[in-house]
Amino acid sequence: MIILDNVTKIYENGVVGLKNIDLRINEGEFVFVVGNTGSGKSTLIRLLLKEIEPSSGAIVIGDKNLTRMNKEQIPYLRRNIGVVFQDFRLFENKTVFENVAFAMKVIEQPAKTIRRTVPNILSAVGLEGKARCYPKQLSGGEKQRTVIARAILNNPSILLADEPTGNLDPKTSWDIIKVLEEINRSGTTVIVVTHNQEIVNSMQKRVIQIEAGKIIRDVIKGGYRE
Amino acid sequence: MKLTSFNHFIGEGFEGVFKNKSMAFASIATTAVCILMLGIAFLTMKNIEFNVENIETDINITVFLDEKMTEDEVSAFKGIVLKNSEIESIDYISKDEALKRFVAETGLPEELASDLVGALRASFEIKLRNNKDEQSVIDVLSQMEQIVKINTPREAMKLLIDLKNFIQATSIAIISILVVVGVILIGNTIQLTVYIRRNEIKIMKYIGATDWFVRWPFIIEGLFIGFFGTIIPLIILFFAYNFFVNIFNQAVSIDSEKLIDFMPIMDVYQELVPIALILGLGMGIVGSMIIIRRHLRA
Repeated sequence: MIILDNVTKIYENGVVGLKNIDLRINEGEFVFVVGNTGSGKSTLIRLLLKEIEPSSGAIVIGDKNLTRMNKEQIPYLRRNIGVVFQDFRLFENKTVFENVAFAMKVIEQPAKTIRRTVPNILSAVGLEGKARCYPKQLSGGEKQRTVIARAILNNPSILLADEPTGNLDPKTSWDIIKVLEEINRSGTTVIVVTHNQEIVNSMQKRVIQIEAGKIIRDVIKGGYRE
Repeated sequence: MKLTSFNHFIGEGFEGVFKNKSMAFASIATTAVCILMLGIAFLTMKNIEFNVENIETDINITVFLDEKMTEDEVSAFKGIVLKNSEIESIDYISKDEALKRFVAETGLPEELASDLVGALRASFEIKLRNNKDEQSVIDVLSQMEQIVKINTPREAMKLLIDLKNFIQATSIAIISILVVVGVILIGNTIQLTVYIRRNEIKIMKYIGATDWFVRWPFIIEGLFIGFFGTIIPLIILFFAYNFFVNIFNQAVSIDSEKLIDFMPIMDVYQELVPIALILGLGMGIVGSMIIIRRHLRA
């Protein structure tokens, strides 16, 4: 479970990222976070990853209070949160296999376990036969699948996707959303930040709309606009 | 640290060196110059100490007597001196004997030598039971009216010790400056790697890498630079020292007798190698740690 209790984030330059946010996301939910550019969506993601600290309020993920967490504990928090970015953020000098395997190397898994697990994950996201390709040899959709494979490799309880379809064509975007939905079905909480109205409208999942740092709409089943 | 991670760190560390070849080369070169300076200074100081010790173990005081003294007076003098319990023996070196020794030492023809050393005098060589008593014996001898001059190897030794101290002080100053330059250069090399890999570091952090997981490849890179910057000058110095010793002994020895005793290189390296490795690897670690720490804080 994710709880934000009266969370405010004001940046050093005075810009308000989020203001008095109260939010609760249950385990296994699929949530779309929508809003205009600069509304505070990315601030929310960065707060959940403990990349930035809230100015006030408390954030709890599972049984961990992020506001009381010290620097040494952050990596262990992030191992429980998979992240997918719009710009992929893959290692260009590593193959698909190596990119995905890296998430297991970071948590010091034995090479044998890595060799056994990675092909299964690649297969689950539809990247069979692409293990030896470098990112520059992949299409946008394949790159995003690689990122998703890396994000879910260590079985995180939460998957954060920041504009995962932002750089993809409509068909590929749908493929990626289907993959995310499949991951959600296995019990992972999925939070998707997006501008893609068609997908949000069609999926009819929980939608949280943020504008000017405030939650202006939170519906269990909804579309991009009211 | 697990074996999988260790292999990963070594691989990434090597990759860092080869990605920034020119900067890595500059860092290795600076470290190498620093270690070379250390090695030269160390070898010089060790050899001076070695020769001072050799002189000390065979210490003789030479006293020159008034030339007007008769043979009886000389014998009487010898008897007085031998009564001193701190003196083991006293040998009379006549003027002719002194000339023979000079000819043997210099290799000059006897006629030429006798012209050059017309001022050679008869002397007594006094051997002490214990070198520590040297000063007290000199104090006693200098009270005796028959003695016009006292020579002691201390003068030559003092010169050597002064030279050693000068080399030590100069070397410490130069090495200190080079260490700072080396650390800065290694730091710059690492900083370049950090800059090239800034996105990779960001990704690592997002997927839950600890600071140490991020840090190790850069420390390994610094260690590689420090290691090669140490080993290369040590190898060069090894061969250069042996070459120099051979050339010097051939050029300066007299009648196959060495003028200076050089220490065997392996004896010096037993002390020098650990010191050089600590300094070189230390420069690598410090340089990389400073930079990566700064980056991770930011």
